[in-house]
Amino acid sequence: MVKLRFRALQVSVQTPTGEFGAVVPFKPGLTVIRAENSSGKSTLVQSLIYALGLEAMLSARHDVPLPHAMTQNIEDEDTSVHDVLSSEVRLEMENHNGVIVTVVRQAKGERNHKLITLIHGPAISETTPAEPYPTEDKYVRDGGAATSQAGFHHWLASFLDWQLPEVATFDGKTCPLYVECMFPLFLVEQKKAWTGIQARMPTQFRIRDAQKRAIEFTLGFTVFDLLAKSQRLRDEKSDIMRQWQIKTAEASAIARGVGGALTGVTGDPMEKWGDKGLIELRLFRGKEWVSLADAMKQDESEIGRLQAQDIPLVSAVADDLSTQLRTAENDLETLHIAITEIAQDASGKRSQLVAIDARLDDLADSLAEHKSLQKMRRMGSKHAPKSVTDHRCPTCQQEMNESLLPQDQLGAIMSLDESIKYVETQKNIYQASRDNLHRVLVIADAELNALRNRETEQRSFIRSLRTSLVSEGHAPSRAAIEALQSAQARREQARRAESSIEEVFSELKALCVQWAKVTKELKLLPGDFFSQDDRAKLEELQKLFRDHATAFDVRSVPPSLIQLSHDNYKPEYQGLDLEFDLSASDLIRTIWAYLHSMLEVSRTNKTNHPGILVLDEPRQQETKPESFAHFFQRAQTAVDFGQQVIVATSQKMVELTPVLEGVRHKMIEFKTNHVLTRVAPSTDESADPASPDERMTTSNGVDTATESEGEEDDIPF
Amino acid sequence: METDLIDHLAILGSKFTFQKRPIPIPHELRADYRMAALLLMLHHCGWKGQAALDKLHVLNWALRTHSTRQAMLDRLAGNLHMRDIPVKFDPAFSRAIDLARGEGYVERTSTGAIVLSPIGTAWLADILAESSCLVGEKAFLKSVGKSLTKDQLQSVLNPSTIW
Repeated sequence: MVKLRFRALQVSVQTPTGEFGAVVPFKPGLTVIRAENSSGKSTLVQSLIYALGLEAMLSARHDVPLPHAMTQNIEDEDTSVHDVLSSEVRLEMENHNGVIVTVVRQAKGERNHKLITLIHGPAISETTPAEPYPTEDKYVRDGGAATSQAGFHHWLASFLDWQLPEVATFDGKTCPLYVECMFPLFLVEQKKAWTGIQARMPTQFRIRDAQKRAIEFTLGFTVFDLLAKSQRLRDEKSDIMRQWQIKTAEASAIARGVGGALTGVTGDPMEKWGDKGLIELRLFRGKEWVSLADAMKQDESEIGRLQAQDIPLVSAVADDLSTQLRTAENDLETLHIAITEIAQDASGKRSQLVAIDARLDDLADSLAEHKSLQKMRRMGSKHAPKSVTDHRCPTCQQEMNESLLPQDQLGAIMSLDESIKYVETQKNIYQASRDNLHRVLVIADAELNALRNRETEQRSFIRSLRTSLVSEGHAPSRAAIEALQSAQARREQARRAESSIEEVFSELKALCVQWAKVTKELKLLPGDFFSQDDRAKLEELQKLFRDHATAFDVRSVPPSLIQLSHDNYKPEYQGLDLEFDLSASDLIRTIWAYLHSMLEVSRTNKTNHPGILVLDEPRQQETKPESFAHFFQRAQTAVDFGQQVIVATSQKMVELTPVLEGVRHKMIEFKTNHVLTRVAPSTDESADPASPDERMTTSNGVDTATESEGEEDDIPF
Repeated sequence: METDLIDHLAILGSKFTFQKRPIPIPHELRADYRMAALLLMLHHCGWKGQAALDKLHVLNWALRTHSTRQAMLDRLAGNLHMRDIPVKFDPAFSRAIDLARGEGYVERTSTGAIVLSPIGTAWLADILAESSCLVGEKAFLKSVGKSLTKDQLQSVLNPSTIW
């Protein structure tokens, strides 16, 4: 389906001595614009790009990417030079709903260059409407040009009925797939664009896989829905991960508070609660770790035992008390020793941890440096040192390796990639031992915590024994009361921990269920993201591409063996990107073939292709005239589908006439030395701005002059 | 005991083969890394792409680690520490300079200074254009800048003069 049709382009330049300009009308089908080299033919294509606010395709800079003739001074036919006062570009176009608009953008003048005026009507072909056309201003090349209501590209996308997908950028954010990214598939300007398919892809948006995404969008692949879904699932996953970390930290805090530690809780959420081992809160009691339930049972029986016996009087237990005091003091001593041992061990481990952390930092630095070097190599500069790639000394031609160590002392050295793997392995080993050490330290801390609590209890027990010993004989034993009280306090603490840990555990369990669900859904997403429909389109594109390549006489590789990569949709041969394998003229033919195949795919499939292909000087690198003729043969079919193929060329008429033999097309010829020529003063009613010579050619190749108003003269005065 | 004996006999009867494994080397011992660093030094810290050998060696020393980079900047700012790291001359860097001359990236002037050649400038342009490579190196050398004087160089080479 055709989404967009250009109706006319008008370029006008105001000088102190009058107006210069050109009007180019466009019809469906093949249009050939011919003008002399250096006459400003490219000005027309650049103006088209400028009018649509697509100059990001030309350069990342913010100045007006148009030639001198539009921004500084313009040369007349008599070679006199005139200052440019102001200049503007107008483009009249129509969309699939028959809505006609004219966009106006000033290149020089008082208006802000970031503004584009929309005129809702055919302001070039119908200059004097009964009622003035409504107009509105939109802006380009500023934040929000693609997303805000006032943005021109936001409007253009809706004009084309494009739903711009959100895509990932290199800095981990998302942004819309900007309109500029698609147009290299429909508009090829002369200067640098013939170096590859989508050679002028703007890079300043920092979109990941921009070329690939643009092709997917243009062909209307469903891949975006899947990408969005996978993104949503991954977001959900990281959200669960965050909550998991908060909740596990909470659980550890509860455990620490009661002098215990958790077992079986992992850093990442589990797919099933407890699949990495028993999850419970364990307490350090006496000299061993016991479960919370067991610890509570111990407390319970201790309390029972103490409560069963009546609180004795001091006089009855005086001897007993002094024995108890000695034992208690010995116990305290043992506790001290245990605490010191564990603390020393932990402090040793802590300094190990510091050393490992330093090593990990070094390894991370080293890895970053290696990768930075790898990036430099992958950049593939043609000036990069030959000695490193060829392993040969540039001076004596002897074999050498890429190291700077004395060559004779050294055996084989690892390649950069091997070194990176080696560093990564080391990093993993250190990380594992760091994790392990960390775990050991957590346990040691918990033990210390428990033992210190015990120490406090023991001290107050000893104090109470001493108090009992010196108190009057008929008083009840303080020691017995103290023992009961601490047992009860322990039980109370454990009970509180039990209820709060249960709560956190049940929240963690719920997270596991969610985690498992999201993980499963992610696994179920198709691996290569292609739907049946996408696959069919890609196959058709491949078939058309091979047809085209055969017809255009691509010779570097047999066209029937060219595949379209499922990875980046570009042509490849024997698994290698084709663009690197081709002779210069074959590369040009390949670009024609690819872009025209995309145009043809959109004839029979639902895609986002606008149905337009503009090629500036497609005959590059001395491509053979026969290939060019074949290209026109294919391009003329555009008219049957209401599509437009616009070719600008500076080839001589004598060369063009034979290749256009029998091809249905419209020829627009600029016979003057400059495309922009003097426009008659507005008093002359009959004069349009410089109308070029137009000829329509019928299918049998007979020239017929069109009834264009400006036809009687190239220069209307 | 018996199984041990059998094992020993098995070893005695078999043929040993040793395989030489490639050894890892740090990135700064790779020729292209150090040549790229050399070009960046000449670009950021040289006058018209030219610098004397001792200056290059000092920069090369400073570039190596975070702590040497910091030490260099501190000394240039006039801050001296008790535990300053002494400047070392690295033979590997001399080899890198020789190799860069062989590749045609740099030339040696009559005074013995090293100067960027057109080929070197072309590769340098590519390295500078790829903003994601040698990020730290570029930033450090830029912050050292072209204003490194002979006196400052001396103070880096020989910080003990103040003691």
